[in-house]
Amino acid sequence: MKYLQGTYPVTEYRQLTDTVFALTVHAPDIAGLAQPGQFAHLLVPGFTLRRPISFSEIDRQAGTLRFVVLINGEGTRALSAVRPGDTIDLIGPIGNRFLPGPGRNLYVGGGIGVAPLLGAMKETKGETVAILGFKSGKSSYLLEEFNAAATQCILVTEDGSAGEQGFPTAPLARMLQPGDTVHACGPTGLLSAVKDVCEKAGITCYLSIDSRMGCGVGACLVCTCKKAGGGYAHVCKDGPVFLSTEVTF
Amino acid sequence: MADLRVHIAGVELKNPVILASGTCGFGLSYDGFYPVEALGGVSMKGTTLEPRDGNPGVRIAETKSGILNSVGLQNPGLSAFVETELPAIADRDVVKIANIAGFSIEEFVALTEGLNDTAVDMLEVNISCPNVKHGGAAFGMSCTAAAEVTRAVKRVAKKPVIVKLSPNVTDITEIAKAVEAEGADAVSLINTLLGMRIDIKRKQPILGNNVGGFSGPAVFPVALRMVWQTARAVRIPVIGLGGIATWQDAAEMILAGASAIQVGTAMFTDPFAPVKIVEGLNAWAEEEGVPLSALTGAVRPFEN
Repeated sequence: MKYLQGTYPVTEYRQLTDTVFALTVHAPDIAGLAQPGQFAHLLVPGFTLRRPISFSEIDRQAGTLRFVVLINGEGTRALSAVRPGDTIDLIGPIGNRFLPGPGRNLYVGGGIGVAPLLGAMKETKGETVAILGFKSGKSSYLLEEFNAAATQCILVTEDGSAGEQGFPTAPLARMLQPGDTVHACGPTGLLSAVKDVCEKAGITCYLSIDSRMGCGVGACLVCTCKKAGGGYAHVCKDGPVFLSTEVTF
Repeated sequence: MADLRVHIAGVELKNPVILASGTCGFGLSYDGFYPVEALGGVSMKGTTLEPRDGNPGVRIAETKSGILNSVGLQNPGLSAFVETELPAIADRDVVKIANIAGFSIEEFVALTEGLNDTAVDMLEVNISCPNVKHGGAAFGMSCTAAAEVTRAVKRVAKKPVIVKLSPNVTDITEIAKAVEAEGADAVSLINTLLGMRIDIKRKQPILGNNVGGFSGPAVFPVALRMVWQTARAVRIPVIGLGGIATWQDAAEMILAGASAIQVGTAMFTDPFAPVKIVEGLNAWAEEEGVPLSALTGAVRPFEN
């Protein structure tokens, strides 16, 4: 596997919610190779480990990558201080991509897992459905972009403060039709529920899995996910996108 | 270009920088960044007789200037190593070190015999893995056990034998002397220090194994001290590792008595760290006007 590594200028910083921000980075060589579902390993100065962050959008013409990041620890908090004019050290593109099916494609996201689905949906031909789950209306983000990109966009919140109240699996189960392909990204509970719904309905389902990561290149074997047949797969080398039937939670 | 060659137990390395076991797969994980030939050697992932899945749950946690890992020797086993992994690197111009981990003396012997007639250049006997319940570091914690493993391996080994030592002992020099007495050709140190972190919110350890091996820049001064003490205690070559991230760290290790050095965790921050260290050591040796090997053990300690 060939990887690119370099220091690239940050061109835009945007706060999306209290705890989620978007960074746009001008990295034409990585953007030229990047595919939706893949990620980059971001260096935060002062930290030993890089942070694996999925591409939220890839603009190959402009040569830019957009990352949407949740502040959930010291490293991502430090990353949130980056501003246009600063530079950032990236390794990428890493991992495999979302594979749209020939029929209708449904993209199911929860929380920060919503972010990588936007770029994937923009590059999917034919009918697309976005089912986006958040804790509340206040924590939702990128809704305009999803509404523009998807044939149909369904918002779900746990507290019912915006859209439908509940979890994304309810509209998913209601809408599923033979021939659909489902792509999901989000917390383990959501992925596990989406897997169940799709497998019961006999629908092809891809899950993008997050894990604490070390090297990012398949060397250190820390970013595990359980294989359905026993043993462990590694998110950086075998994923991050897995067929639902390949993994277990 | 300075003379960077080093010789360990009759094996020539073109430079003293070796990728550390557990951080470079079977040596080629970073080949997508730069050819592995840029390095002196690679110490491949710890190999056991049978395949191992490794430990459940979270396997990595960040610390101030370091990390904890609890991989638990996940590997495909000796047969798959010899048949699948080793052929991929066999023809590459780099010294290939197989890291072997047994759970009994018999397993160490079987691993050694299984690698005798392969492309492996040297063996690194892992008696220091902190992440497995039986065997592993248990062999590295007493002079008697460390000596027994070394004696058994040396009796059958056709390749030079490096013994990788654990820092989780009262006096690492005693273990080093014990393995030297049984014919070890070199020692490498340090393996990771046993550490722990706790998630305050969940009131649970972060690692699925509760505890794990601590590595990265934070451990460097401890590793350096142990290398210095060990180099003064034994005559066999010492390979220094533990927290080396820059050429200056490598230079300190060499001055302390290391004939070669290993780089591991630093690659997770900067995949190019090993080649930058080679370049920095080259410039240092040029400036000193000597072959790099002349600087091994050249520290002038205070005689108090």
